[in-house]
Amino acid sequence: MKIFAISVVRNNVKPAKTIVDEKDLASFSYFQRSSIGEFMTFMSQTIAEKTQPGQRQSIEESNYVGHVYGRSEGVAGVVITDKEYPPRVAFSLLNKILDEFTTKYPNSALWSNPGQCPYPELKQYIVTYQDPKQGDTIMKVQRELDETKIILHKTIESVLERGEKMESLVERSDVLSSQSKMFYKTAKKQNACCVIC
Amino acid sequence: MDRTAEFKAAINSLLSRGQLQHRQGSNNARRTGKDAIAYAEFSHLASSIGKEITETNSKLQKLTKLVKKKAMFDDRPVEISELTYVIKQDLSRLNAQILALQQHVRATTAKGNRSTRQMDEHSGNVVIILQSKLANTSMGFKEALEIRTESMQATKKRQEQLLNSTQPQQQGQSQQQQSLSLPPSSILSPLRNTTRSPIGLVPTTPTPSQYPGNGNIPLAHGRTSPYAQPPPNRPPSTTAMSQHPHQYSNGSSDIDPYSSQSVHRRKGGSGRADDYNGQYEDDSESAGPASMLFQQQQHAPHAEQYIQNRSTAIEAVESTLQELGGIFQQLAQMVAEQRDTVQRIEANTDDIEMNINEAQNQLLRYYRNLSSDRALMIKIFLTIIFVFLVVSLVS
Repeated sequence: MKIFAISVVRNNVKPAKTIVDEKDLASFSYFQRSSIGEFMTFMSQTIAEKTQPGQRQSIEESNYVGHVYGRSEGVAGVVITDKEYPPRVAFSLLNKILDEFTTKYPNSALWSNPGQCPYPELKQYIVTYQDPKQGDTIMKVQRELDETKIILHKTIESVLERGEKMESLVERSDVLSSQSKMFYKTAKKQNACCVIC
Repeated sequence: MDRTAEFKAAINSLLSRGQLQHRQGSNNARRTGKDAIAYAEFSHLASSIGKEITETNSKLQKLTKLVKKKAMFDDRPVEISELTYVIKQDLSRLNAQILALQQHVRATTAKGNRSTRQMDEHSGNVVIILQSKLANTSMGFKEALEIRTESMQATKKRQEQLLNSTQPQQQGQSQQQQSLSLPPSSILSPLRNTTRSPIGLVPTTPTPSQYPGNGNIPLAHGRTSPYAQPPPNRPPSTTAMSQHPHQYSNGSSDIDPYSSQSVHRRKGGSGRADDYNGQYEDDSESAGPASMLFQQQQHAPHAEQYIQNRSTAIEAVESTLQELGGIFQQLAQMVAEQRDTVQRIEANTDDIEMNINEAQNQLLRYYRNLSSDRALMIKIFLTIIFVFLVVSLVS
């Protein structure tokens, strides 16, 4: 499950123009990287063009999937992943990125010059979101809850063991108690009656 | 439509009024001269508009005739679409012209004075007449489009029945449709591959509206773009006209999914790509009255899907939390149960301690007794007495 590219594309002009993008093509061989990178840029632009504002789409192409979310301001975010990546995480990532981007550069005039809109956080995002369980908040919560559940299961098992040990302790203390009573009686008998024998 | 009679009448009235005013003063004469020129322009424009309206009407009649034909295979979608397009263009142009005329009239009335009021009224009436004629034309256009839609649906149903009921006859049908055959894979651009994404009937490549000889698929796509554009270009006309452009723009874009589907259906008769037939069928169910609505309805499931995914994930988190809560409670219960056991153990150990303490006391006493002198002395004394007794008894 990995992300190959994230990009913010301006889709209120045709042809769509990429404003910022970030690629992680380490999984491909060195010689394929440039062509695959170009293909991804082209794909991002094309699907961003086709997206209406306020629309989310997931488009499958050979063995990549492009998730695109078009904002009403005229930019769209595109995330290209493999097929296993959960689309929900991709869209929450897109939401986050687009929110940040539009708050950072709300002026749409800036968008025509990509040099004015640097967005270095994309690099971090593409790294953190490589593992969707790491990046996405909901999945993080879910993961921690699952871990807590495992810990609790172990706790319950140890409590059961404790119970068993308690039972054995009770029996043994019962036995001891009766033994000590016998001992006492014997001693008392010893003391009271036959003084000589 | 011959309005020369009107024109002549108007000129006569003008002249007569001009003569009247000429007697009143040169001022007025100059003004009426200008008015006459203005009115001449106006009537020239009005007559040209009237002529175009008549032309459009005749085209509309041709279209209606074509549309009313009920033959399944003789349907000529090319001509019909051409005509529709042309008529639409004409209507928009006429609309613009009438609007310009009206503005012109308003400008001249603003400049004019009381004495030319009748002329202004007349100009206004002429404009209104032209507008109403255009309205009638557009109504007729709309009806024609509606008829076309219905016939499309009927042909589609009949096609369906034919294709479903007579599978062996597919060959015959495909032979009939050879002229229309094209590789349907051209529809399946890579962007509409497996997921039923809403790109659907939106033109993937913005092809200009070409009309090649056979109604093939780029035509179907090219159709949507010109129809998408004229509605926004339509200028806001007067209230009498305002509803018509919307109505028949919707109607015309309504045509396109259906016409493109009929084209696709004929190709689908060859049995290929049944999946995209199914796709278009599904799309046609949800197509609704306009392609925009269709897109929105496709948006909504997709957005719904995303939202549903999110809600599912959050529900999973919630259920996990609930489970955790239950587990904690179980834990507490088990520990509470073990509390009794612990108390028993405690009681037992207390007993044990007590017993052993007592026993130890006893033993201590015993030992003390044993080790004290008095007991020993008593024992020795008793032993001596016993020995004396034994000796005395023996002697």
